[in-house]
Formats: sequence, C-alpha cells, structure tokens
Amino acid sequence: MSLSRRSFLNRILAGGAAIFSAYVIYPVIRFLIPPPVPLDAQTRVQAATIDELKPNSAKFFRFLDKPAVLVHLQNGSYEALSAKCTHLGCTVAFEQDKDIFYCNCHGSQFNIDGKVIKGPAALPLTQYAVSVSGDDIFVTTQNQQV
Amino acid sequence: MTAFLIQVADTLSAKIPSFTDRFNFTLPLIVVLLILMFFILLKSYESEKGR
Amino acid sequence: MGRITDFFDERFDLSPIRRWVSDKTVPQHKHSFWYYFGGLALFLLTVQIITGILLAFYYSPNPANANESVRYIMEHVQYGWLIRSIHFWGANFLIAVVLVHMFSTFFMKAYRKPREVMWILGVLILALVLTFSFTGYLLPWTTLSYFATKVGVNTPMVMPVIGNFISQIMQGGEDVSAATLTRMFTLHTVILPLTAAGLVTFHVLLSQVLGTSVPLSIKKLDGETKFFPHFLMRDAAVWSGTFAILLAFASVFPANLDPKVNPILPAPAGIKPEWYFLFIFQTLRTIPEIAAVGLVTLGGIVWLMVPFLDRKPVNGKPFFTLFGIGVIVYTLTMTIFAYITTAQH
Repeated sequence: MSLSRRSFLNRILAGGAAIFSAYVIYPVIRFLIPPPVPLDAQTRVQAATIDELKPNSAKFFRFLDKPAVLVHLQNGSYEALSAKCTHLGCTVAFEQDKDIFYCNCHGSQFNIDGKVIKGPAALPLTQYAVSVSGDDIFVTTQNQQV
Repeated sequence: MTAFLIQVADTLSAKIPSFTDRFNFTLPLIVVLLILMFFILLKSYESEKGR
Repeated sequence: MGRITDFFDERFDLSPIRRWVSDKTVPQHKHSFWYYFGGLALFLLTVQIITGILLAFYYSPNPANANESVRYIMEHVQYGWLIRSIHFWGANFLIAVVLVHMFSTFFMKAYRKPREVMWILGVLILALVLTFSFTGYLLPWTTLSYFATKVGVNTPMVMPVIGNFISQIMQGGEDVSAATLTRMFTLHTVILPLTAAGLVTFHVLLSQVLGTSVPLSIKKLDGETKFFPHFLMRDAAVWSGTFAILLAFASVFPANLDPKVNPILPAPAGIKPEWYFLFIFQTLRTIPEIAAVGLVTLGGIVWLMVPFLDRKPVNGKPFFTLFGIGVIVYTLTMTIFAYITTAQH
C-alpha cells in the first residue's frame, strides 16, 4: 500500500472516528442536562386556605420549584417570600415572636420583608405577591397580573 | 414528586419525537458507522497484505 | 507518545504486555467467523452499562414514581427516548449474541482442556445476563413488568422446604411490592454489575492467556492474523455495524412504555415472559411443576459440566454435538409452542 494511500485511509478513519465520537457525546451531554422546569404551570399557586393559616403563623409550600413561605402577620396581612436562604440555599425558619426569618445553617437573619438583618447572607429573600380569592390565598410572582 | 412529574407531563405537549424526527438524528449516525465499518475493514486487510 | 511509554518503562517491566501486543494471533480457518461473537458480546455489555448509567440519573425506584420517571425520560429528557431504546434493544441483542457465542463455542468444542474454566465462567455469565434482564424488566412498573416478576419470583415455590423462603427473599416479602422494586434495582445496578465485572474480566483474561481454540475438524490453518491491529480492527468493524443496526432498531421501534400497574386488578390474558424465558415457561406448563423445575435445574447443571462430561472429545464422535443440537431443538420447539398457545387466548 502506497504511503499516500495509507495516510488517506488513516485520515478517513481518524475523521470518521472523530465524527462518531462527537455524534455520540452530543446527545449524552444534552441528556444529562436537566430539562427546563415549565414556569407557566406554576406561577400562580394556591398556597393555603384562610382557615388553615392562623394569625402570627407561617406555612411553607413549593413555588417555582423552590421552597417558599406564606406568613399571616399579626396585623392581619399576608406576606409571601422565597424561603431559600440567599447564602447557600438552606430553607429558612420563621420565628413568630420576632417576626424574622432565621437560617439554621449559618445564622443569617431576614426581616419580614425579606431584607437581610444579619449575614452571612448578602441578598434579600425574593418577595412574592399575595391575593385572596374566596377562601383561598394565592401566591404569584410580583410582575404577574392576577 | 409524583404530582410534579404528572403536572410537567400534562403541561408540556412534547411526547417522543416522530418517526421522521427520530430518523433525522440517527440516520446520519448510522451512515457514518457503516462508512467507518467499510474503511476499517479496508485498512485492516490492506495493512495486513502490505506486511 | 514515546515520552509516556518511557515514563512507564523506567518504572515498570512492560515486557509481558509488549509481548502480548506483538505476539497474539487469531487462527484463520473456515469457522473463524464465529470468533467475533465474544468481543461483540463485550461491546454490547459496554453499551448496556453506559446507557444504564445514564438512565439511572433520572429513574426513581419506588412504585409511586417508577413508571412516571420512565415516562419523563421518554417524553421530556433530551434524547431520553434514544438512550432508553438503545438500552432496551441492546439487552435483546446482548442475549442473542451471548447465545450465539455459547452455542458456537459448544459446537467447536472450545470447552475442552485447558479451557474448561472459561466454559464454566461463560455459562455463569449467561445466567448473569438473563438475571440482568429479569431484574431490569420490573423497573418500569407496568402491568407486564409486575406479573412477569410475580411468575418468576413464585416459580421457586414449587421446591419443597426452601421454595417459600427463596421466593420471600426475591420478593422482599409476601408479595411483589415496593420492597421487590428496590431489591431488583439494587441487583440490577450494583450487585449484578460488580459480579459481571469480575466474571467477564476473568473470562476475557483467560482467553488472552490461553489463546483462541481451534475446532478438532481443522487439520491445517489458512493462516494466523495478528490480534493487534488487524483482528482488533475487524472487531471494531463488526461493532460499528452492529451499533448501526442497534440504532436503526431504536429509531424504528422505540422502547414501549405501558401505563403503571394496578396490582389489585387481575393478570391480563395471554401474559407471557420475554422470548428468552419462553422455553422455561412452556416447560413449566407442559409437565408437572416440580418435574419442570427439576428438569431445568438438572439441564443447567449438565450444561455447566459439559467440559468434564465430554471427557475425550474426538473428531468423528458426535454424541455431544447431537446433544447440543437436541438442546437447541428443544428450546426452539418450546419457544414456538409458547407463542402458539398464548396467542390462542
């Protein structure tokens, strides 16, 4: 086999093997990337009923595929926030006597509006919009029209 | 978890791709494999003869 | 590349590997074609492991989520349908190739001395591959999965004394349930792969150490092919062609997903196991249960012990060849009968 024929053959094989490898690796990588969560299914959630959420108490629920919290404040209004601590993602707890959110993982504290009182968290908890319809309390994102 | 999965399944209309879509992806790969098979055999026999 | 080999040469004695690479040959004769099936089985096993690992990223092994997670893979994960369909067809191809490999080595009497241990390992690997299929079959948690497993797991019950105990261990309780599913999943993804790694490594290692067997009927070889690179390249060509066929099947016939089982409802009419178990299934329906279990067990032991029973394999004495043909005829007949008799329902 002449040298040029051999190197031609080698190049075809190398090229073919490269194409094959890329063609196999591509779907494997796409497969491993998790499919996106459909947001429109979940941007309006019935978080609780009026009866189940007594004043000065909180209920944790899932919103936008993350933990969220609905609080019935002492003054009677409702507040809904993301319950995912902005530090490293632990779910915050609600301290009802002090009306603050406290993260047990590293000690961050947030006030009732989600602003940081004490670190290590730096960013505030996202606020959500609350609306009441009949007996149900709905939570939506702030830019959603109810 | 189950309720979430069912909700996702109902919301998105994607089912498995159609026959055409499936083959649009795999047919070129099949062709590449067959070509590769042919050239590997060619190389194997040629380099053995060339010894 | 030279620098890398120099690094190892300065520290390890690589001469046995070098000798193996340069010296290993494969005999050429009119039956050499069958030599490709062992490597093909290894290739298909690798495909199963890779696709299986990918599926395990999304599969959930409990009755509440199992079927839904498979549906998620099929309908929402990018190329999920392809990975699962390759895994499904790959399993069927692997069993077929292992059977061809086993029968071809049987008829070439490759089990004779010094390769008796290779034969035993091979039969154990066949049992392993069938167990892989049996455990994997339950995972989508469909009606077929559930009842096929029920039949399989209740079969040992006919054995006196230990039968009930064995069934309970397989099921994880009195019935097929969530406990059964986690048990099958652990077997399928941990225990069986580890066992396969051991058995297959040992089996392949022996084939390298002992070389390739030549049938008794071949008096003179047509030649010898160097394993590196020529025979290995031809192996790669066979693997490419087989993978192309596997992809075609996966695209034309994507893996089916039936709805989730409702265990309270009765077993559907015409239920039967997958094709590779049909001969056992039909044997169980044809002769009394305990005789059937005895026959299949005894048959398995005889098959395993063939190298020690065929003491003086000599060309021209066809007893074991006829025995092998008898086994094939029996399994084919039973399989066909199983199809005919279940189709009548």
